[in-house]
Amino acid sequence: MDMSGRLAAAALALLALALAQPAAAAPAAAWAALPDWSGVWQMQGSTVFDESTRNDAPGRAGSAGVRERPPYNARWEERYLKNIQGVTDGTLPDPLTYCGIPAGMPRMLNQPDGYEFIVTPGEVWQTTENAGGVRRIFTDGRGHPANLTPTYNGHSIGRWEGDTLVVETVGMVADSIIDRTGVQLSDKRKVVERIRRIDADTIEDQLTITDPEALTGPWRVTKRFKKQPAGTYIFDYACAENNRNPVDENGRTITLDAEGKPLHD
Amino acid sequence: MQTRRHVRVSTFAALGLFFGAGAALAAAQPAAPAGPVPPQSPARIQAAAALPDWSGVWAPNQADVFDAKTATVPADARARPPYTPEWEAKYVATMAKLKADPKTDPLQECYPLGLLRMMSVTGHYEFSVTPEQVWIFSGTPAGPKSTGAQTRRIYTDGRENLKGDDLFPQYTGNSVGRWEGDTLVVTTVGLNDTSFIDRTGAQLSGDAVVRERIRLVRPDTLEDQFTIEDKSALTAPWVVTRTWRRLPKGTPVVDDSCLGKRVNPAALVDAAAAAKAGKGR
Amino acid sequence: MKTRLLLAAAIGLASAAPAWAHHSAAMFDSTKQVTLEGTVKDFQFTNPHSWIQLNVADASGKVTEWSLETGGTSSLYKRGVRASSLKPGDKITVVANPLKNGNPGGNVRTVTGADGKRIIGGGEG
Repeated sequence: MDMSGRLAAAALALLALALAQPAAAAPAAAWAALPDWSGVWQMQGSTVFDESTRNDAPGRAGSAGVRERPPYNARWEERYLKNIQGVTDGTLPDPLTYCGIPAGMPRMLNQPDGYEFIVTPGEVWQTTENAGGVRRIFTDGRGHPANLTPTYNGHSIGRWEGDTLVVETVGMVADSIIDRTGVQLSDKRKVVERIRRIDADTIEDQLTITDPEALTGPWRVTKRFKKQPAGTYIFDYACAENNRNPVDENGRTITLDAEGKPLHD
Repeated sequence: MQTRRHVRVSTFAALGLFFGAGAALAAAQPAAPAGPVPPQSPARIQAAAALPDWSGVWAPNQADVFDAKTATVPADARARPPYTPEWEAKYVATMAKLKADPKTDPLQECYPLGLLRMMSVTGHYEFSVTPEQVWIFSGTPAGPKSTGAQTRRIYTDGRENLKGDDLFPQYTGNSVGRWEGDTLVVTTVGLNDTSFIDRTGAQLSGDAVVRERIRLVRPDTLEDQFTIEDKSALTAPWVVTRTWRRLPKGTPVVDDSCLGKRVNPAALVDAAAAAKAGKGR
Repeated sequence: MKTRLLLAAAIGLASAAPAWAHHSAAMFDSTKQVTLEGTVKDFQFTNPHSWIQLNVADASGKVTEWSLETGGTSSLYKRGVRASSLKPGDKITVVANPLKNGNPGGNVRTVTGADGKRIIGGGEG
């Protein structure tokens, strides 16, 4: 059904509700204006943040070359190459290995396992099954707070443009890495998203990341999430439950046997 | 509703990409394009409009002990939880252990708090309500007692509790609910037997069944009446009532990492490089 | 139980690290596969990874306990695996990428039951 058909259906629903329950008309109007993003969704593609970096030969994620993304300036490209070397020789642990540290933004758009996009009038939540992440996007018209202490998720505000949620996130910490190749950005970064359900099975998130300290221009990445069968569960996920891959004092990720002794020399 | 075992071809293709199983699988795409976005049904809008308003940020009215009477009353006079003698002894022993070494609290290792404890911590709460599902978010923000984000899910789409082989222990268990007018009636099974239910160290067995009735008792007061049964640990059903007050509109929510400290990967790389150089390699 | 320990130089895989791992898989040798026939000692159906503790006897009868890493609860559950899918005493065959350092650990690729049915499989990584 196209936009006008959808609006007509919603208008009829509103009329029916207004006649039946006058007091409920206001919330009904608010809900009728929102898209249905219910259910469980799963990210498509690998957990390398930008698929084009994976395939941009001869430069690709995890190696130097003529890679265009991220569009780093010279100083941050040099730092990325150091991180790549750290991943290769096993001295750069993934911060997620320190159970308790969240993926944060924008990495939480980049996780395996299930996703939820919880849409209500006034507020939207996005959850990740992996490591139990949750971020909140306020759509009640508020702005960003004046004195923002940086957090892993940052502060997100959004507005609806029809069926598209336009989100702006600021106030993210600089320490997090964006994916397992070692991409990092500064705490000056801003993430703008356009999130929309583009077909029956797909929610698409078009991210534009700007970072005056690290990037020479905007970095655009698109993530897609596929709808999972009805009745799919999101289960509890505790990194600390049975983490047999801790990080040792040298930054190396090791493997433990069932008694907790390292399986390494 | 039974979990579907048959998975569509498109999902398999996605999984193939997902697990990096090789170029052939990675190139496989679903054969037919998905249909257009279905319009929001009038039934869903009507159901949503009928939901109570639990929006905003809430703070608990009780202390961060699940039932105050469990902690403040001397052991021999305490009536709650209505433990069997075996579980009462276990509780007293855990309390002593915690007092001697607070680090034995699972919170110290950033475990999820579990169903009952996440409903008793001091901090922010949000109750997110949609026609199919209700989420409760809680957490104590950054600081020495930070808990990280806590989430529980209550499925209200008509599915039943998991059972048999499909049910396995989880921190928040498996919760399904239904609406009786403005009251959400919830049943939770499948709780694990390792979580504390609050900071005093009380625990329940994996046989626990937690029933709740959640509703607004005043426009800005939310009440949850818990009835906890545990055929292994309790001699009788245990009823506890907790309430939350709605905070002013616009109250910010800050959740942060449980560890409360940052790990800067770049600094780790630099340190490793320095150590390498220092070793003269 | 007579056990064969096969070190097969398998075809190099397209991607070095499994897409979903919360840590780098650099510790495992993705160019090698071992085939382990053994008896389940324990199946830890947990996050961030599930683990199969497998008792594997060599030709002389000496038993080594292998620690075999596989997906977390959600990713396994989606594929029909349950906590009860592997019980102590079950005889299974596991194909895995072994630890590079030669210690008894590996990253599961497939798990097959004594009846030949695939329990965990297909690019588990």
